[in-house]
Amino acid sequence: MHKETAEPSVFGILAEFSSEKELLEAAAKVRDEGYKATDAYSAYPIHGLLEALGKKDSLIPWFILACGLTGFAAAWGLQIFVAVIDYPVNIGGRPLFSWPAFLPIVFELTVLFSAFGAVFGMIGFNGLPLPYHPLFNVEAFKSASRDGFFIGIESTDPKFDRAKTAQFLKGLKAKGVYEVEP
Amino acid sequence: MTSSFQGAADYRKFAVVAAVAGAALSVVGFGLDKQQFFVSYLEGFLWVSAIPLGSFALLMVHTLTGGNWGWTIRPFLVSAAKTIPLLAILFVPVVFGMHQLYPWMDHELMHHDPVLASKAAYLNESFWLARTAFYFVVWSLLSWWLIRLLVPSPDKLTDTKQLHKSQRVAAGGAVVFMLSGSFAVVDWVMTIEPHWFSSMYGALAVAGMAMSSFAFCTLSLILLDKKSPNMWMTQNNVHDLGKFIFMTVMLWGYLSLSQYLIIWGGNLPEETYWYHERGMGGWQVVSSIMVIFQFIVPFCWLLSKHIKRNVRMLPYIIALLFTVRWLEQLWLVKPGLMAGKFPIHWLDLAAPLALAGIWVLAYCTVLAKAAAVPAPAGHGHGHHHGPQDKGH
Repeated sequence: MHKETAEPSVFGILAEFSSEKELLEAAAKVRDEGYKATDAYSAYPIHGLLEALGKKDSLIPWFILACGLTGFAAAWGLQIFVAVIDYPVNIGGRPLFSWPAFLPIVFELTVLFSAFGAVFGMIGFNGLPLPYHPLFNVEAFKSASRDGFFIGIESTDPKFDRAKTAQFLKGLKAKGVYEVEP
Repeated sequence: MTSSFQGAADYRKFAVVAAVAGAALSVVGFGLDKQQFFVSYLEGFLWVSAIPLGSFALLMVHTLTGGNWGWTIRPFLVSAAKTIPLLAILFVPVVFGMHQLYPWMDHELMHHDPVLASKAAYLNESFWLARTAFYFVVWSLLSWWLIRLLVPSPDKLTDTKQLHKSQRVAAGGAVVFMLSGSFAVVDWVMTIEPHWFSSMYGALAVAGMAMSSFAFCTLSLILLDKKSPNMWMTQNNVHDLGKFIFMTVMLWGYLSLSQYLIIWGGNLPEETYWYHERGMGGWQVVSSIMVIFQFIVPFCWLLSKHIKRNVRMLPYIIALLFTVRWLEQLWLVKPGLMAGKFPIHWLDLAAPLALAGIWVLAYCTVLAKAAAVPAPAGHGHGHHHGPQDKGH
């Protein structure tokens, strides 16, 4: 239910920083202040940013492992079912369960399923495709894909307070602090 | 910054003890069973020489590719590669034992076996000796030349003239090494069973060298960091080395399986007997141990990134890898020469121990004098993650 307030509600507060180093320092302070519903934005991956923001490891590695094991099991299952159970053919007098011959397929399907898991898992866990995001309302955010470094604190955070959060971010030597319309 | 590897000198006493104890036992063993001594000595030589030879190869790779992983272990790679001339001396006992090791050196056998007789142009004593000398001369000269030309630190990479000079040597050297390394193991190990052949053999041995070198350099980094913290030992760099160890485990598994699969699929008796003799008389146990502990266990163990960057866990994985690498040398050398004997003899421990002691003594002596690579800009003390750091 939407609560009527004097001011229109916001998606969150966005702060812009001028360098990778400042972004990392600010992120650590945002984490230490106790904010949880946070995210950081830059044009390239920054080592240590997840740790600085206090984010837990993503579930993607486990998802990839599960996919890989599925491929592993599927390869064994398919080959055993076809070659031993459903359509046994005597090839060169070899046993029907000639496991060394199955290994290349086991390897390939494990890799294939893992790669699918990595790509589609990454897209899915990132919530993509996402045609609209409130951050696009901030004009300065366009530079996030070029040379800008941003930290956003969302209003869903229990610690979020429109005025205090903006004040806190200004205190972190932010180049600019913007309110984000929903 | 002054040298930070003086701590390496402290390990020399362990090396001396290993060398003396191993050598004393080996002398006794030589008196008791000459053939067993030479077999064990060759195993030890292959086991130990993989580290300096692999380090030389990785040094060439890093000169061509760059990357922080290489700068992190640069002093260890260089110190190990500098010991290559010592390998030539350590190989001398193998030359004395060549008649016990290589059946094709027996002229009688060569004449009565038409298959071997047709290989006589390649498999003859003087050509074998000349090739062996050639390998050591080429490796010693190439490694000396490359080390002299290396760009000393990442901030000197702007000197493109020197960089390109070292890269030309590294590029040519990599080709020469891959070929000469392959031929060397074919000459020294594969010809123990002169009827058998595998085109995967050389690549498999060079992959093993890379595994030994990555494992050994990572261990050097972790152990010496305890005595004097190394600016390069950041979590990301340790993680990279963990990935490389993981990669060599997979490469070894992949190449081993390929070799097996090709021979199994071809199903020709002149090839399959090699695996057959490794599937009986106790060797089937060794074969299984290798599949489980040189591939399955380290593969599953190193899957997680938390393990790859865990400086407390990595030494155990490295110890496991060196144990199975040792077993692999036994598995390659022994079955063809000593059929029907129990796989492991006490000399198989003593001779490799002596060689490891001698080599580690030389390595630590060279390393103690090595200068540390200056850390790149932005790698301050704040980024150092010592052994106390458990990772996130």
